[in-house]
Amino acid sequence: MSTSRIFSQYSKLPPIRKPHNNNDTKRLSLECSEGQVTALFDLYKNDEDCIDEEGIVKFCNDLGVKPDDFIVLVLAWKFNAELMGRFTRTEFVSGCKAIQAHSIKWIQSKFPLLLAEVQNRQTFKEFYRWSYKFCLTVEPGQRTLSTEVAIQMWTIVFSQREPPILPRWFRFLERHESIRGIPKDTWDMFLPFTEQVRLDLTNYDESEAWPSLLDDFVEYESDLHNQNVQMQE
Amino acid sequence: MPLSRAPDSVLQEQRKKDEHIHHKKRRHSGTNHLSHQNLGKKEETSASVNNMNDSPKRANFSALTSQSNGLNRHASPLVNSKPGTTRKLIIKNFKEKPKLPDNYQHETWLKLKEAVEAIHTSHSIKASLEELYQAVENLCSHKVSTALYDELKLVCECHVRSNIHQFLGDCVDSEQFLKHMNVCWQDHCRQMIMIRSIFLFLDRTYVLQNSAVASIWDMGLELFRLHIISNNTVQTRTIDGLLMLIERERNGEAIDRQLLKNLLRMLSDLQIYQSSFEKKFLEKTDCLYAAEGQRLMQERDVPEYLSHVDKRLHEENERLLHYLDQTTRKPLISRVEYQLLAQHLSSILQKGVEQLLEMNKISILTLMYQLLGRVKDGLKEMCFTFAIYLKKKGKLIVTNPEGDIEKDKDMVQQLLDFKDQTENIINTCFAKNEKFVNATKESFEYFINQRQNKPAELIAKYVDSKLRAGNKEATEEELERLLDKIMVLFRFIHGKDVFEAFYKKDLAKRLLVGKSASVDAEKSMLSKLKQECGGGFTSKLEGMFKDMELSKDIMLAFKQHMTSVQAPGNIEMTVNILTMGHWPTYIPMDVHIPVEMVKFQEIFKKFYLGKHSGRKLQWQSTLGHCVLKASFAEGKKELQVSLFQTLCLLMFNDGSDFSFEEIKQATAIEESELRRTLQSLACGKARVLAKMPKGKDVDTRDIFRFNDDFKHKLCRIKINQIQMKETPEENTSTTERVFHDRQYQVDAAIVRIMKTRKTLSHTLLISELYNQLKFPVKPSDLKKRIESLIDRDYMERDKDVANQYHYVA
Repeated sequence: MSTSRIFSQYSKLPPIRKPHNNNDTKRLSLECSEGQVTALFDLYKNDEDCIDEEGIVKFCNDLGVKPDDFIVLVLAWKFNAELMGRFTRTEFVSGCKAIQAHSIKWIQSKFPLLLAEVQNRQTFKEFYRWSYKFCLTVEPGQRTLSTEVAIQMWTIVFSQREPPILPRWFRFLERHESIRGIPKDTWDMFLPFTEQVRLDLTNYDESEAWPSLLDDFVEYESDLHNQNVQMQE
Repeated sequence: MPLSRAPDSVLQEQRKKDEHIHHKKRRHSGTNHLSHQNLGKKEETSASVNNMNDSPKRANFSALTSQSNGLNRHASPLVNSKPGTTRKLIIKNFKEKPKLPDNYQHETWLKLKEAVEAIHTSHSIKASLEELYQAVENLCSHKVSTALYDELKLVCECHVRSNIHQFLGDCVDSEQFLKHMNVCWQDHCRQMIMIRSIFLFLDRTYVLQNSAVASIWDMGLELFRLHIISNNTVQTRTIDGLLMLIERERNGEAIDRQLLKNLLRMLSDLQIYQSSFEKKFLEKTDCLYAAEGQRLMQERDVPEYLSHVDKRLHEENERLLHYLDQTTRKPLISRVEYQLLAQHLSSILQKGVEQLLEMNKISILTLMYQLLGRVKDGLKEMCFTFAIYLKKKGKLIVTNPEGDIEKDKDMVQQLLDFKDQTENIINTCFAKNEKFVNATKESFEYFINQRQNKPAELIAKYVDSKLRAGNKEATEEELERLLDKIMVLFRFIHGKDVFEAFYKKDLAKRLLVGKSASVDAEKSMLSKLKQECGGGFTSKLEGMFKDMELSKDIMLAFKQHMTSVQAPGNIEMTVNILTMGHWPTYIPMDVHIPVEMVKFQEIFKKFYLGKHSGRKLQWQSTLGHCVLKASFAEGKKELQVSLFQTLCLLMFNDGSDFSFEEIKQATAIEESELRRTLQSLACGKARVLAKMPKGKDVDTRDIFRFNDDFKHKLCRIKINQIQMKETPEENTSTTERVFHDRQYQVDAAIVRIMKTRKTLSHTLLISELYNQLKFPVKPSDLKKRIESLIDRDYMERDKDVANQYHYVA
């Protein structure tokens, strides 16, 4: 009985995709050999056996995208790149394998799939959190992202779906020069902030565990708001 | 006639004279029926009395009491009760009943009636009272009591009824009316007493035996009530007249209190005091004092008003004493209190408390306390207003809204005075009421923490000023008492670490520069602090004292050591060895020290490290001081100066003029410090240097010259007061160090908590932190520390539950 039940679960597996799709993957998995991926890597690599910034620019050109495009960031995430502006051989090869692509064309064809993947809330969260570390490592040993870089990064990360609060957040950061950097925790918490707090910030509760920078932001905003109200009066 | 004696005397004599028993038996037989009747009622009681009084003296009678026809002292209600004596009498009836004349009853009654009417008309009574009394007694004995009573009542009723007419005429004024009423009542009473005396036997027998029948006196009252006072016109006029009299008295007129008293007694006796008088009286009182309260609250200030209320209460008490019935006390007083005090409670408090406290009006405050204690919530409200005043005034002292630095200097003294004044008021005016004592504590704690850090700092400085040498204003006991008072203030402070930092800094100076007034006072203060905050708080301070003592020993040994070593130059050196953690942190200042001194330092270093190897010595130049010998034109002087001052002055051994820059270069003293040092030498009270150009402040382009003309009446001159002064840099660095320490403490507390809890929500962590931390800290600051710890990987935020933290091992 028990064995049959275990086996019976197989019937619940999602049905195999349509035949032609199936063929595609099959052909891909066959053709996505290491040799081709390595050849692609060799096309862009430099003397130190990794793709440096120059190589990336070229790679992006071939892909028909700009280096600061959202999709490039997603690609880097998928490749599990450790440093911005650099792909190591292992990163590139295993990354290509992971998305099952071995040529520029193939990679291009995966773009919609990748974009769809980060539409998912949970996946986006992972991607969002990863992006902080990805930026950090520009200088080795750096722990905190400078505000400037963070703003650029936020712009890219949220380019597909910009939270309405973002311009006000940037304005706040730009007007407060004393804020030197964005700690990882603050970066991480900004995403739930955009998701949970209403645009008028009325449901924000500073006694909760929000990072203090967000407290300051909300206070600043409400001060601004109050001033406006006073000026109108 | 055998009927002539009252039964009570019979019984008394029975007890006395046994031998005349027959005689008495005969005399007694006339009242026989009466005694028998009562005997039956009382038998049980007497039996028990017998048992209780079973004394040998009465053994003879115990045999007799067993017989049913016993007689004892309880036999008649007319007998005075005397314990113990019981006797048995056997009473035999006459063989033949005595006869009365046929018209005896009628004639006797006529005689009595005549007497009653004579009483009523205030004529003299023809018959003797004794005769009348016997007549009544006889009639009663012949079982005509009922008829007699009814006849009497009829006669009295007739008379009372006839009295009403004098009150129905309408021309008399009300006081006259009352007087009439009083006369009528007094007459009535007098007459009734007279009548009752005559009819006493009736009153004591017939009336007593019949509970339905009112006593003669009561009957008289009833008649008076029924026929006179129940008349509407009469009653209204009486009551109104009474109320008017009282009102006139309340308005300050003198009135006939006796008249009032009599008439109110009358009402009480007639049992209509409550129903007809008191109710209206209280209403009137309410009206009067409601209006008066309203009016006077407007017209008068609070002290006047309160004394007026006090006067009114006193007057009403007088009224109660002189004529009002005592049952009126509670409602009357409570109404006056309600209308004059409770109704105006908030205005009295708002208008009065602050002003009175401000002016320290002891007597009025006492009165206010006493008066408000009478009304519901009065003291509670008063205490509340009191606390508000304390907070307001205290906050003003503490926060110093004008930012006047001079005022800050006085803050602690002001607070001490304020505390004294408040305590004095509570002790003398508020009867040391616990509620007020607690409100004071709570208020002081509140306002003293309305300003962060500064009060703690100023208290520390205040203590310093009192413990410094040269403070001669106080004897030891006074100083001790003062320190106790300061400890009270200190207790209220939330951030005690600020106090500690400043106290430590000042203590270090006192110890090192040798300016401490008395070791006893220092130790006493230390023990107070220890008692208040525990050993952890004072361990470093104690360490400082220990260092000083150890240094003394070391110096003794060093002096001995010096005898075997050749000393460089003619210098004596004293070194204090300070354990680093115990003392305030001093930023080491590297200055150029004269060669001789450096050598000396080397010798000491060798000596000390030889004894305690592995230790590191670091010379702190800021707190060093020296005595220099100087030769002026006037003569030789000894100058007590700081090390920095020494360095500057020693330069003038080699030349007469030096510029600021030159001195700076030669000594390597930091510029602002040097500026201060030179100022103290050239611009202070004792100007051993002359500055060019002259002026109060030191400029970098100034030139300094040895002032050979220096004159001073003393031989030994102290110029190193500058060391005791607190520089602004010192102040900020001390404060900053406290804040840094606090950060570490917060961090340590967070880590400690997280280490035990492993996982904790943000709110719980914050609340636990507030439990542990002993200084005031804002939640946003705690947040920043948490973030910093997350950043430094001491803890992490839960990946999914943002409100939750995990400890990172």
